[in-house]
Amino acid sequence: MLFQYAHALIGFLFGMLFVALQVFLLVRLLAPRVKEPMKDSTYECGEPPVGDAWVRFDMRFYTMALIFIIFEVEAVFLFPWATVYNDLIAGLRAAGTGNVLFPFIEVFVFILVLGVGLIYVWKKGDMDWVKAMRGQPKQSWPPTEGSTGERDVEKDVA
Amino acid sequence: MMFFALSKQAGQIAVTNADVQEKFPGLVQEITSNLGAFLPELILAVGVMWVIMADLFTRRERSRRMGFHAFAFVAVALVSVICHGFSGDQELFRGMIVDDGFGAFFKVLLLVGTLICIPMVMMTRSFDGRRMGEFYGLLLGSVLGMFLMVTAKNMIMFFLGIEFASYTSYLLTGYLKGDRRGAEGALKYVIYGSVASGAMAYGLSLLYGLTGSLDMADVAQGLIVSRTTDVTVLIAGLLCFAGFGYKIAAFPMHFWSPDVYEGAPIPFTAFLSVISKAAGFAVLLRFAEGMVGTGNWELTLSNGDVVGVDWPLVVGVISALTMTVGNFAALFQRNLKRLLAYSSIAHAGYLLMGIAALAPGAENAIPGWQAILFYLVAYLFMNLGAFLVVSIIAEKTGRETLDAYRGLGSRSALLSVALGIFLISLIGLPPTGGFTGKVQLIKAVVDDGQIWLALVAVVNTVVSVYYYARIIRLMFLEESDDTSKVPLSAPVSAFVVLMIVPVLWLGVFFGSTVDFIRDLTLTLG
Amino acid sequence: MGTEAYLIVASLLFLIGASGFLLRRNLLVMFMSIELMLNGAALLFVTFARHWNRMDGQIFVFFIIALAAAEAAVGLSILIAIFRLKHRVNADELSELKG
Repeated sequence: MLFQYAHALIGFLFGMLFVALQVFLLVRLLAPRVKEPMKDSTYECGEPPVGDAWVRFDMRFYTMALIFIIFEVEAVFLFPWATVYNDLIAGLRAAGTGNVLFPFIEVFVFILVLGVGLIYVWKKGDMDWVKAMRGQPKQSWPPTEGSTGERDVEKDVA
Repeated sequence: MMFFALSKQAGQIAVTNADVQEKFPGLVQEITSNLGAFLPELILAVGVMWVIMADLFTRRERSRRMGFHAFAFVAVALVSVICHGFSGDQELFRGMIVDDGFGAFFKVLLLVGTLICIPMVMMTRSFDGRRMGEFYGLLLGSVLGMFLMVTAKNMIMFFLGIEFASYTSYLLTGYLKGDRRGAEGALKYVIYGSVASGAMAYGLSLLYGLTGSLDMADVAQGLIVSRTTDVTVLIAGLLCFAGFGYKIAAFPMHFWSPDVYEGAPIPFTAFLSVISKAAGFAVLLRFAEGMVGTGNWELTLSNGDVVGVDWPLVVGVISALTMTVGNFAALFQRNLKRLLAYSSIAHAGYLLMGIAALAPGAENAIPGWQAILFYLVAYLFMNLGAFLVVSIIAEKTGRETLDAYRGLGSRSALLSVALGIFLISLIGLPPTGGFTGKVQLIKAVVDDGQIWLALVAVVNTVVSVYYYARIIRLMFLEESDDTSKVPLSAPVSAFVVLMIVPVLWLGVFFGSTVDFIRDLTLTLG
Repeated sequence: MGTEAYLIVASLLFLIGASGFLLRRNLLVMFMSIELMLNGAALLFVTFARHWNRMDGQIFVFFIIALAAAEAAVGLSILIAIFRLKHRVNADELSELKG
């Protein structure tokens, strides 16, 4: 009776295995290793983990959050589609009319339009934490010599 | 809670996998075969993406060229609308949108207006050195949203269209980042606009609850059944009107428009005042026509009781208030952009008269919606023309106040005569399109028996003479310290002349346009 | 628990949102109030979809969710633009345009 959910269980186990593999093995093998004091600090979404919690948040979080919210919410349209996808294909096969790939193409166009937005944001440099200003070379993060690495709130909002 | 006199229905939503499998192939065929009639929208959609993407790979100095790309896409869309014709009479995509002459008429109106606005944008120097791809992308997106508005039959599509057109307008208003007035205008726009759309969503959900359908025709039909809940219908209708009224800047949803019009870049102010307003009227007309078609528009007698909501009276009162507020506020304006903003509120009031007179009354009466369509054509040319002159003067002198027009008659004959003609047309005096349009509107109201509304309109016209004529007097009868000629290049002069022609033409040879509008098909929604 | 209970909750949500919009002067809070109004409408749509046994009301809610996100994005980006110019997010201090 419960065996009908076996594929879900297997998928779940494979997912766990894959994540474990990635975190513990692939990263060890592939990632460059840099030793830095900043890496040992507690991760708090980019904010300093010690001190007053009522700090003014970096303006750049807003940009990131705005981009995120647009793409995130669009996913809601994919769930109904994914739910009936198999039935749509089966129906088209049975009828023998029209392109069997039609449901796929429809969603492909939808994602393509979203993709245009993604390319736009990417090319504009809004995905980079340190955005290249007009006429200035792109800086690297974390900041190298010359800057303290602390965000200057007034400069951000100005 | 008998607020909703609904019968409780039981059971599950009966959609099974087999249902889906059975129905889907037919749906695919329907969608594929309907794509042809959807071509103008597809062209605009590709245009939006093209302009934005092409701009990314263009150097900043050449970014202005995106105007030509946008112009080309709009022109191609216009050709495809006209080739498709004005006699369509079918539903597309399972009743989501309709393909009819009414919709095609408004599409042509929107595209022609956009074709006039794009060169105005390209003439504007305050856009120099900015990336313009986004501006044109948003502009085309706004037009696409309005396309969906004017053809929507289902409330989902209509809501999506109105929001699409609104969001792009918010961004375009504040396009000049760093301009305080623009940013403030955009913020006011987005806040009031969001409230209006929230209220409208709530109103639509009430209509859905009353009738159990999102299809506009079904809603209009279903309201008859739920005649006992007049108060709810009135509330739902007024909440929906918050959304429509916001788009057309009708009282009491008008207060955003002077600030937004003043803050926005001039070409976009022109776009908002005409094109966005036309789209709003299309939606309102389709909605109202649906209720007229089902006899749900005026009070009816059944069993000796008066039932229903007296919509002609409600709209008539809103119309009278809108034109009065607009005209009296315009009397005290020193900034011409702001003055034209209030004048466009007043014009929304005049146009609403046509909706108050929708029900065909006497014989040979001009149905209100035909009068509205004619007036919108005239309004398109006269108001865009006035904004064109304002934009040219602002470019040359850097001022938008009335002082800039002192003695313009001797400085530039063409500009002053052109502005004079546009203003005369806005007043509604012969021989201009504004006159023939207003006569039709007033005749429609009189034929419908609402004499008081016609009187209010006439009094308002007299009031409006004061502030329009003041500009004409400034231009021709007063002397300016600065007597240097205003230099005009040949293309700009031709552009101005091109705007004068239709205004006068509609004032003299209006017959063909009236006939054309009468023959349009209207698929009730 | 019939349809009425949901109607009351939805109306309350809408009214809280509307009064929040009218009473508060912080622009961020005003935006949040608008979201509340939209959520009231969305809840009403789901309720009626259930009541009438139809799917289209629920589809409408998907679109309301997506539109609310887009609205938040547009509104907040304009708000940031204002904040950069004025360093204020108070509705009463928007007084550049008057007349």
